[in-house]
Order: sequence, then C-alpha cells, then structure tokens
Amino acid sequence: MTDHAPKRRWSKRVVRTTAWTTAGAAFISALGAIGAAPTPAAATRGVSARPVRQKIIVRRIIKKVVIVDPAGPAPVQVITTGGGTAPAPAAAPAPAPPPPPTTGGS
Amino acid sequence: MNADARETFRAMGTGVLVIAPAMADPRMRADALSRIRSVFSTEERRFSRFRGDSELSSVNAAAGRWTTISPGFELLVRFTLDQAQRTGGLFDPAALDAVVAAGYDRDFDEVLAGARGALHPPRQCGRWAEIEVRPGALRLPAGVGLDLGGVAKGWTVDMAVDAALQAGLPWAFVSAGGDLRIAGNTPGIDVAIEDPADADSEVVRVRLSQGALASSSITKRAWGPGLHHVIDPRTGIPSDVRTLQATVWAPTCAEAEVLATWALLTGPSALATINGAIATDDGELRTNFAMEAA
Repeated sequence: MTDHAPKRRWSKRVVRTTAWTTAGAAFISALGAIGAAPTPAAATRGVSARPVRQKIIVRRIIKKVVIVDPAGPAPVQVITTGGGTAPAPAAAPAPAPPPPPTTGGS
Repeated sequence: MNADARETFRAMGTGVLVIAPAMADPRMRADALSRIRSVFSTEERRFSRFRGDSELSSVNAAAGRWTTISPGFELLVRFTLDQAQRTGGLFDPAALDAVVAAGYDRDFDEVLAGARGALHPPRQCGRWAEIEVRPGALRLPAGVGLDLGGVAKGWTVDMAVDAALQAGLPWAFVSAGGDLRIAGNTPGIDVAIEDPADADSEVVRVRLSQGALASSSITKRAWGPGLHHVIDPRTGIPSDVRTLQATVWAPTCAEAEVLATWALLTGPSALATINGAIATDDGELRTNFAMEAA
C-alpha cells in the first residue's frame, strides 16, 4: 500500500480570486491587442490630427488653344476653351447637368 | 439639354450614348432605342474582325478568290474604296496586316492585358486599289485583309440616327465611343473635345447642331511606346507624326471617321481643307471651328 499525501483543497475564496484575476488579465490583454492593431486607413480619415494631403496628378497635354479661320461653313461653334470650372452659383445650386458627350478618339 | 433623355449601352467594343428629346412619346423613344440597338447588333455581326462568325472574317478568310457579300457590306466597302481614293490612300481600309503586325491582333482589352502576338516588321499598305467589287461579290487580293473598325463604327452611327428618325423622333443624337452624329430638328448638343492624354480633361467645348464629329487619336488605343492602332500607309507601321489627335466635322459620321484619320496623318495643315481640331505634341490644339458669337 502506498501512502498518498492528502490533497490540498483550494478554498472557495482562493478559487474566486484566481478566476477574477485571470479573467481580468485576459480582458485587459485583449484590449491591448485591439489597441495595438493597425487601423484601416478609411477609418482614420477625418479623425487624424494631420489631414492627409491628396495628390492631384494633372496629365493633360494641351496648354494652348489656337483658333484659326474655318475652311468652310460648319454647324459647329466653340463655346468654351480650356475646360476649367463653372462660376459659383449665386443662389441655391441647381442640380448639376449631365456631362456633355465627349470625343477624343477611341 | 437637361430635359433630354439619355440611354447608354455597349456595342462594338465601346460605349454607345443615345440622346433624344425627353418630350417625345416614351413608346416612340423606346421603339427608337430598340431600333438603334438592333442596328448596332446587326452591323457588329457584319463588320467585327474579332468575331469568327462575322461576314468580315469570312471575307478576309476568302482573300484571293471571289466571295459573296451582303448589300450592307458592299455599300460600306464601296464607300471606303472611294474614300481611299479621295485621301490619296492615307485612309486605307485594307491595312489589316499592318495593324496585326503592329500587335493589334485581338480584342483591344486582350491587347492591353499583354496577350498580343509577336510584333513583325512593317507591312506594305495600299493594296486597297487591287480590291475588286461587283454587285453582291468581292475579291480581295491574296494576303490582304479588310479592317473596317473605325469607319464601320461611324457608318453604324449614321444608320442608328436614321433608324431613330424613322421611328418618329424629331431629332436624335448617337455617339459610339466619341464618334457621334446629330440629325433632325435639333436644339444643338454640347460636345467636349478631350485632351489627348486625359480623357477626363476637356480642352474645348463645342455646340454641334447638325452632322457628325469623329476623332482619331494615337494616345487612346495604344499598347506601348510607338504602338497604336493608326497605321501610316506610307510606312506600314503606326504613325509617328507629331499629331496626337484629330477631331473632324463632316455631314456623316462615316465621312468624319475617314477624314479624322486623314487629318491625323496630315497634321495641322489639314485645317485648310476640313473643319476640325488638331492636337500636336507641343501642347497646342489648333481649331477652325468658329467661336460662338458673344
């Protein structure tokens, strides 16, 4: 026969304390992991202290429009050159008109 | 223009825009749109070089011998041969071999994706003069193929506008990838001419009250340095002139297409003969469209 040492039984108080401590540590470490994770760029837009600068790349080639004499009558008239922006409306803005059809080769 | 009704769909590998008066009977507009779609569908089956079942593919496969052609096919071929004569061969409807040799040997989306075949040396152009046509039949010289891409698109735009007017619309505007025409009792439509390097930037805005505008460009269907779809028949390779883009007015879209190619290869001096806008690589766009009176 072998003698077994009597098993030590944890008191309820110790078990409760251990459970609370473990759960608390797990909760705090989860919060830390979430805080340390990289945030999606979209989520930080507008929140960041330093606004993100947008880079606008202008690729257009044409810098100058020269109007010369017509070769003959044609039912086409130049309205504007150079594109640009429309003047600011004085009153409430009207719904934007649809963009004009374009031509430029295909 | 706000009150006009717009419809869009895809055909012939490009976006089609139809504008019609919003005041027209909706059933009439729907009928017109249905006819327009039908025209594009029929002509794409007839003239696409990317469809093995097209009439054009059959005709090209039969090069060297007489083959039967439909009346619609015959009309366009006769038109292109007249235009080749008129432009001294700068518009060449039979430059298929040179276009393919330059790398445009399949649908353009696939070319862009890098699926093109190997590039080949320049090919001789100008053999359109050897094409024989008789009523209902055609014979291409052996080794020669037709490429009616751009002009077929313009031709189809003309047919589509006619179909819309036949449906009863007082006026109609049709654009296929920027090759466009307006006809009927029109209010005039504003059209933006794009910057050659940026389709989102407009260089000039014009008001078109009758007829057609078409553009030819070496910057749009391009797949590498010096590689684009506009073949210079004088060299048999993609054009290397300083002109980047030419927009031309003509009474019909098919004619405007032809003249746009001619103007691109001719350069700004073309403005002595045609009405249009020509962009060159020094950043200048020259146009002889008149300024609207203030």
